[in-house]
Amino acid sequence: MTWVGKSLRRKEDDRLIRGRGLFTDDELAPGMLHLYILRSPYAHARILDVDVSAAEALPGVACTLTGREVAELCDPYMQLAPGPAANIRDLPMAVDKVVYQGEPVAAVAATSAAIAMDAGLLIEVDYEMLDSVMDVEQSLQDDTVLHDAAGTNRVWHGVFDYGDVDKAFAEAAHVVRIDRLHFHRYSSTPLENNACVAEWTRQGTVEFLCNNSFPGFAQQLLAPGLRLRTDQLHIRTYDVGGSFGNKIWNYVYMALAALASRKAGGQRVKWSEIRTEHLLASGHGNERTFLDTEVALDANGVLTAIRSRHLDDCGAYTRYEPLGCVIWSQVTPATYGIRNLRIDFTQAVTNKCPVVPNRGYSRMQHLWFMERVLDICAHELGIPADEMRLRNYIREFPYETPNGCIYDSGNYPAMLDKAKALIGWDDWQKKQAEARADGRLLGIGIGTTLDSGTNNFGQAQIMNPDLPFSGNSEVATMKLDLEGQIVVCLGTGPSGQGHETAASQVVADELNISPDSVYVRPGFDTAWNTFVGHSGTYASQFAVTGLSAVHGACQKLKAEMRRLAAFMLEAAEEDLDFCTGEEGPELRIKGTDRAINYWFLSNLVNNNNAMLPESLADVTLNVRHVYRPPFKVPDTERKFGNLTLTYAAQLHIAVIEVDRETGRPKILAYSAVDDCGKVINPKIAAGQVHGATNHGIGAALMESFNYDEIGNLLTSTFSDYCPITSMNIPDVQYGNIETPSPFSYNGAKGMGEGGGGPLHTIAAALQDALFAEGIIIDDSHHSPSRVFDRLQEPNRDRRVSVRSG
Amino acid sequence: MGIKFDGSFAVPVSREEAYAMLADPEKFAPLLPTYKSLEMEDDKTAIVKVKVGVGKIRGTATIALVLEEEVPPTRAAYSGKGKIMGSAFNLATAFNLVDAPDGGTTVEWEGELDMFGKLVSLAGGLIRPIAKKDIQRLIDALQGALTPGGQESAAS
Repeated sequence: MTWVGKSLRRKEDDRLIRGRGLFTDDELAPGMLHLYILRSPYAHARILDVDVSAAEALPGVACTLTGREVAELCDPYMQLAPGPAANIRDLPMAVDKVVYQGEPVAAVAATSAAIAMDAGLLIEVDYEMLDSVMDVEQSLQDDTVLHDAAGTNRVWHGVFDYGDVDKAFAEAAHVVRIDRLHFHRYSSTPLENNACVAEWTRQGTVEFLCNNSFPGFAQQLLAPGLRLRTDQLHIRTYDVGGSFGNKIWNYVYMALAALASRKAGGQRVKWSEIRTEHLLASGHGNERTFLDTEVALDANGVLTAIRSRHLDDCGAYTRYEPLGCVIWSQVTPATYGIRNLRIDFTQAVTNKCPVVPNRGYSRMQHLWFMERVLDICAHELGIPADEMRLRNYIREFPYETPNGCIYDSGNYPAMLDKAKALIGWDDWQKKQAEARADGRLLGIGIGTTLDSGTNNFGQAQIMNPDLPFSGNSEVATMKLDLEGQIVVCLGTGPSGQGHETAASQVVADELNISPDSVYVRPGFDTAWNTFVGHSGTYASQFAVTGLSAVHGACQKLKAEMRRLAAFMLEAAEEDLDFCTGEEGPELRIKGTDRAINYWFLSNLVNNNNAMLPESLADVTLNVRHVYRPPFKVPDTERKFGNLTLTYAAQLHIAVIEVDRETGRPKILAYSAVDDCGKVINPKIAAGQVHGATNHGIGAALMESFNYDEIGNLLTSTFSDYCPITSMNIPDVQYGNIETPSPFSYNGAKGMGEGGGGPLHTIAAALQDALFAEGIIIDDSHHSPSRVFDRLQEPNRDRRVSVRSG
Repeated sequence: MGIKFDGSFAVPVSREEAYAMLADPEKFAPLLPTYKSLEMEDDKTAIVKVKVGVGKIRGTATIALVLEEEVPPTRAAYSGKGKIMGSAFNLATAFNLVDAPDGGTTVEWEGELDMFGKLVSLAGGLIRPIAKKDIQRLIDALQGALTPGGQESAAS
């Protein structure tokens, strides 16, 4: 029996549905303090004075923290950017100046969360308001500079130039010009907000229980920031209620909780974010503007070249940026065979919440751009959307993109066929014709997207050649415990993706036992020594890095078990089978009833080892495996190299009708086809596809961070920033195909970040519905009011021009 | 969130009388709608407390109201800075006084209110109409106070 490929019920769910999970906010301890963070109401202001005396006088308050204290106790976080932006001083709390609404300006630790909040509101902060920079183009003028130490708002600039762009334009049959497209600002809304519990011990170490989703990275920033060694940080997670990339930089808040604990004499301090804080200041997705795009096409509508200028708004601090300036290039040509591209890419800071990787990080903005380009060209040239894609899809794999990325496998035409069949394409074509005859605005849109998984961190060197990052790695440790139990520890730090279940399935297949016989420890813990610098859950990589590490650890443990069993059973190693006998998991001599069970093996090493020969002295039944994908450092001059190991794909089709009177778009039908290579657990994979699809639909139709001109976030509650719920989720017709990856041991590809699919698809469907009205869909967000405004003011004439011949 | 407002009203008193009222924080501040208390920090700065409420979000705002310009008897201008429940606001208002053709004074006024923070996020859509209403109440109160015998009725 094989377990991989089965829809095994998730092991995690047993404790979660019984209320026995442990989320960070569940942690309780006598004497624990609660941290309240006072945040700036201003987007840009100088801090003239912070008076905490009234707060400190409130009974129950243990201590306060101000920016000046934090600056004395901390060093600024390492900046990834080269040049002037490297001088940005990023501390966990504002010192002299705030640069976004919601930035921490003071904090209070008290015996209850309510007292801490009451005390926080007694803190007097005197501000001098400064002009706000709320637009990336305005920011690049540098009239108002956010970070004095940098001296400019420009964070990064680079030109990605591949092929012979000018020649392709000279030979083009058609040139389509699109003056402006805009990808809006939104984020993720995990069920569990950011939280941490910190204890600065008397020994000078810091104990963290948290829900950070990239602890390998977090500790590399936290330790020097707190002036500690990484080994002085004990970071653990347990159950985490979603991250989607969002929780990568909650180390900023972990630092504040740790400093509060330190000041409070080592008392444990809990910080638990509320929803409005999460929306205001936990990190937003990158906002991007695409300017002066020109597209060259041949006479058949095949894209031959693109040149364009892209401006990325990273908010007030760079934090994980400017990685996003390069990450998009993992999918430079999207799913299309275009060979000539010149993208002039600039990133700048603004007085908005800093950005953070958000499901589909940086790639979905670019993929949305490419899908918009293709779709607009199709409409302008009168080529049906499906035909346009079929003329342009990449078909041979592995495929090297113009910038040296290797698309491992895929079959986009087959996905299109399947999605069409699921939605009933031909029927909808007829219904659309009828609707149009009635004057109704009905559109059918296709979106093809890529979920590039398993980063080559060498791409960071394209952005900054001095950075000491390249390759990737992940760890699993595995042991046969004292009573013969298989125990697996992961470095991946899951946040709800079912890693315990999937890892059990892999181990069960390797050892020919039931997944129930495998215990995968929940969460992440630096004390397990199961981590490297890359450890965490991000960039769609668990199925490749996480499971390859588990698979490798399994091989090592099996080899030791086999050697021990061969010695005890006086048999040749190759004559032994891993199987399950009457007493449970065991190794048996083939074709006999002579076997040794796991308890006996474990006991031989751990309790009863006097009989073991010297030749088995190295056997510990406790192994650690580090998986390293086969990456090389990219050519940083040419911005060329393989940036990602696997390329899962999603193809979605939507049918949308727009109410002519109100502008309200309504999804009438939706299909989603996924290809993530070999599927480990179909039920989990389907859950990821549905989740990502819903996330993307929410982003396209409901979720948008809107700021006013002076930096107020106008959508900081669920009343205004409306996440999608079961009331708004359409009935998604789901299907999948499997094109196994040749680059992973199991044929799997990382997946779960296909959140961009609906953004492309809904934009395409709206384009189809509204093109005849003279409307170009030039934004990724389509609230009814925006669509209504567009209906009142068609934009095709000023957005797009076509030159043929 | 920025709100700009302006207008004019006529009062049956001289510019000097109108100016005396408008340029005195101790007389002017109590006319603010939902006024609770006043404390003079110096002769130009009043620390004023007013009740603020949008729906169920209610509290007391503290405003530091500073008389920035005094040009007797033609112009008085104030700036204000306040905070409430994690939110902040800045305001600037000016009164220009001109003789009315049929006697009395025409008060031409203008103002700007910038609001920041939680209150805007939570109740942004409601603030503009409430601010408009409160400004009208302030103007009514000013008009009442500058009309002989009208102060009591304006305050009531």
